[in-house]
Amino acid sequence: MAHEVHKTLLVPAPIEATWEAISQMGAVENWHPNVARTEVLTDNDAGVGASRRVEFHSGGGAVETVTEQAEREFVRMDMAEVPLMRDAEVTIRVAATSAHETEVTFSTRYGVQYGPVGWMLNALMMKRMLGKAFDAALEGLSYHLATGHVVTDSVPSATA
Amino acid sequence: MNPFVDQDDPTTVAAAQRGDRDALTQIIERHRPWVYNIALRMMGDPGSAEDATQDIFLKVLKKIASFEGRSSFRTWLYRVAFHHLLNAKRSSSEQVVGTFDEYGAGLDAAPNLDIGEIPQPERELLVEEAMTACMTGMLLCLSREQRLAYVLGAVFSLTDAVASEILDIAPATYRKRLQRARADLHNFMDGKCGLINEANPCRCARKTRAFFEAGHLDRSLKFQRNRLSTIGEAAPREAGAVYGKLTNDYPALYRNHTFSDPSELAERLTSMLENTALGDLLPRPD
Repeated sequence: MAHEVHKTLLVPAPIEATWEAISQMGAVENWHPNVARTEVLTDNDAGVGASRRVEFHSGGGAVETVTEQAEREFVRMDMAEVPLMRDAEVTIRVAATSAHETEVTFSTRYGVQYGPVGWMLNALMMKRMLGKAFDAALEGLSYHLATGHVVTDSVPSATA
Repeated sequence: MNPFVDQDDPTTVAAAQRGDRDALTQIIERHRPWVYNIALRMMGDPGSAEDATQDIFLKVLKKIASFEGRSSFRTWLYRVAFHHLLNAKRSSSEQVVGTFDEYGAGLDAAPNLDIGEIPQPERELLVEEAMTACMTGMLLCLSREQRLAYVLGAVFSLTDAVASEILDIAPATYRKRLQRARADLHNFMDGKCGLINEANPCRCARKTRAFFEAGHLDRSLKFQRNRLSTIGEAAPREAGAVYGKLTNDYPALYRNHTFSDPSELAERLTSMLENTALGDLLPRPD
């Protein structure tokens, strides 16, 4: 059974800049507060087939590969090698609400490992944490687009 | 205030029966966290527990005018709540968890990883969350009747007199049900849980490492924001509570779990009370 988490934020940037930040595979370390380093694994840095390995500040990581995208609309990635998860994918959608603002939505669908125990850990723990991690990622993206600064391991409160 | 120790104010109950919105709000706010926290242990996940709590208070609002005072208001309200929790459609978590054997196999399959490098306070919070999730799953392996008896008597420390009255069964029947629940659950914990028996290899912290590595943790730790206290702090043991004299205190582990009051649920219930369609179901104010 697939689980889902969705989060949306209005970021203070035009859709062109927002799209570049989310679709360039090497750019995620500039705005995602949980990502310490990114390695692009393919010749192409964007588009279907582009792949990256992200390393989290916590020491873990994941391999993400673009499976589908529509320019300035959405990008969908498979996520592999994520502890506890299986068959995981993440979709980032963008929609311009004005010339200077873009609505960004993070969605994920995933299964969990380890049967009933994994289910309980997800129901009471992982799903909530994923939601909060998505909130932090959106805040990081918003801060990065507004200031041009690279987000390290926390988003400065000036954006709040 | 613990509603299983302190009775409701009869003036407030009477006003609520006449459709006084302030009185209805007071009753909902007083009982909401207790209904929710019991529902969470019965249903196994926050979403199902919130839905059940809303359904319970909808029934309470619809029926409150018919409360005749033949029992205490508390007994009447929690009879509505527990009847719902015993008869509601099985939650997804209940359907997935299954038996103690199946749950134990899942625990064996989850890797035991070295936890050495997880910093505090993330480490402590992760372990606490994993322990709560895992132990809530153990509760779901009990039948609903056994689970409710255990949650009331062992976790929330209701006396057998109060619990049996609300459940509308003889005290001896309630004690027997609780005894069976305790035997089944504690037998599983004896054989599997490292919190109870050091010889068991399973440790919450070792099962938690994967969460940290997966990058799921919001580093501001905001995921804890709905916490009010522990269950043990909200519902201190009273003299006569069924578990008060035991030395091997398995329920103490449950009583350290979070007693929470989600703001989203409070908003849902406020909206429900303000809903004009519902207003037609409520008693008319004088």
